[in-house]
Amino acid sequence: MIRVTKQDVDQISYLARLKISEKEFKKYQDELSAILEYADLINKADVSGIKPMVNITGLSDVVRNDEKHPSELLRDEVLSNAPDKKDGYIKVKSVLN
Amino acid sequence: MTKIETTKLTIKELSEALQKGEVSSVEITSAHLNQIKKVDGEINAFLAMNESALKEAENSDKRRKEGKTLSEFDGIPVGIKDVILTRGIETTAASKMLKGYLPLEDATVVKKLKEAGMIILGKNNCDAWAHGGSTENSDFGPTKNPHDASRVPGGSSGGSAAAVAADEVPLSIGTDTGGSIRQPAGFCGVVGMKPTYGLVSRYGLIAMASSLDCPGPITKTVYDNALILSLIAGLDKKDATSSGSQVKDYLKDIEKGVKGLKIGLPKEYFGDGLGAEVKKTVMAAVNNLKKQGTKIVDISLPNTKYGIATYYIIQPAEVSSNLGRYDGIKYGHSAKGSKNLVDHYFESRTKGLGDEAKRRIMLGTYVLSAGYYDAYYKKAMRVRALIKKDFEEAFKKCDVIIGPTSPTTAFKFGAHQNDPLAMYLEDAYTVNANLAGIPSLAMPCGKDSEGLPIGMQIMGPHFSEDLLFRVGRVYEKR
Repeated sequence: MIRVTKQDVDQISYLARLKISEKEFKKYQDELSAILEYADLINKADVSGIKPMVNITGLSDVVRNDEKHPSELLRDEVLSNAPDKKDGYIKVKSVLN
Repeated sequence: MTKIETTKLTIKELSEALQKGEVSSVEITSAHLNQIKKVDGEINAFLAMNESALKEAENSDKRRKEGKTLSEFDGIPVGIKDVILTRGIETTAASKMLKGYLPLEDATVVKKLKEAGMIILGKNNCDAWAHGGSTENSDFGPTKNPHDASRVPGGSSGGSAAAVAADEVPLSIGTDTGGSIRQPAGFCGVVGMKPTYGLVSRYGLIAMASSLDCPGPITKTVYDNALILSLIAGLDKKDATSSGSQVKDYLKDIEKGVKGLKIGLPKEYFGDGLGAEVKKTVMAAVNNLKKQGTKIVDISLPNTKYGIATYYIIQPAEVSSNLGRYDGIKYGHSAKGSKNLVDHYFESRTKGLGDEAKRRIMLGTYVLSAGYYDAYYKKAMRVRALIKKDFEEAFKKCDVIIGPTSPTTAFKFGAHQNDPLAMYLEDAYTVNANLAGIPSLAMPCGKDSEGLPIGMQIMGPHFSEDLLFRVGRVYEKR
């Protein structure tokens, strides 16, 4: 059963910033549909009265004091892996054409 | 001085030999580097090497001469899975997206190993982004199983497990999100610990699924594993989910034996789909533990059947979020000549990320998107709570739970090609420990008729690693 439509693939690939070629649409529709069909199994579980669990060991709201600390890294180091940079800044393409 | 074959030795034995002055760190490090040179052309367990390993070994020997040894592990070599950051050593998560990436920091686990004087030899191969159960998904070629080169070593920490099995390193640090330490440990016949979630800091891991990821040691023996967990466990203020108060001395009671302990056998782990030889061998191990004084109780984990479905909603959801940072701007593959910023994102990600990463990002984006969030993600978080409850109920009846790590022994390359779901189902016995956050120790318990290792796992309540080591150690010494 194919329930992930071409429009779905179009929409999620846009949200995920991935380009999908024309022939890949069918592949994603098929694969995602098969996996989601399997995942439907969870609808058989009786979760009445069960709350969604976010943290498994029961920690919540772990915060630190709002204090500044010196960086352990130098600016040049931080920029060392950036593919494009200028004058100590990361350079990006224009947002608007 | 007698010539010792140091690549065969455990961490404990290496440590003793170093302390007695029978061998130097330079000799140990050279021997392991030679072994890598000899076998890794075939095995492919290493991606990048630490060029200054021998220099660091010299420094370790110097410290020892001056009586300034940093720890009992000073001078012992280690491998690190390539999803864990190592300052100045190329770290790629086995993805071409990060080819050439040189981390600026060490992950907390790496920092702790270095502070103890351990020598990082290099980075262990894995499935790209730790997505997979065979290392076939590495962008730099698969790792081969040292027991049979036509078979996978398991994954995603396949390079780590193979490196330990092939005597290339006595220890590698892996990560386990749904079985990625235990399944390869089982396939390669070595010992792997997936600790309680939060026991070992995740700081410096290339995140896969943040609510599930656990770094842990892969070693030749249970004893070595306990030694290393003692070193790397603990609170880290750089990881807000880490738990400090629960760290124990994992060696203290390791030789205490198992008399009176209750071992639970979950019927869901021994039913349909489990290979006959695996079942027979795991049961033989259980019977051995029975002879050593444990009591065997039959238990049920009724929601086990929802494990994979739950995992393949929660995990891709978190993957889609964590891989959002690879945009070609700060580091990683960056497209050339894009028209504008948004095109640059599209082009960098589309070229840099592989098929499996894209599949998980797409799936995760789908289950998190408006209209589907409640039906999939939120529902999965509720089923996750049920799975956790299963274990809590079970541990009222037993102290630890034993089951197989995988339904079969190591499979052939290409066995699950073109069928992602079949590959996902490989994790049927391992994902539930991740969903419940409990620790699980995987160790070898025999071989099948083709000579391939069979693994079992020992699971316990949150922060019961000491107990798991105790049980594992009794079996190891049988």
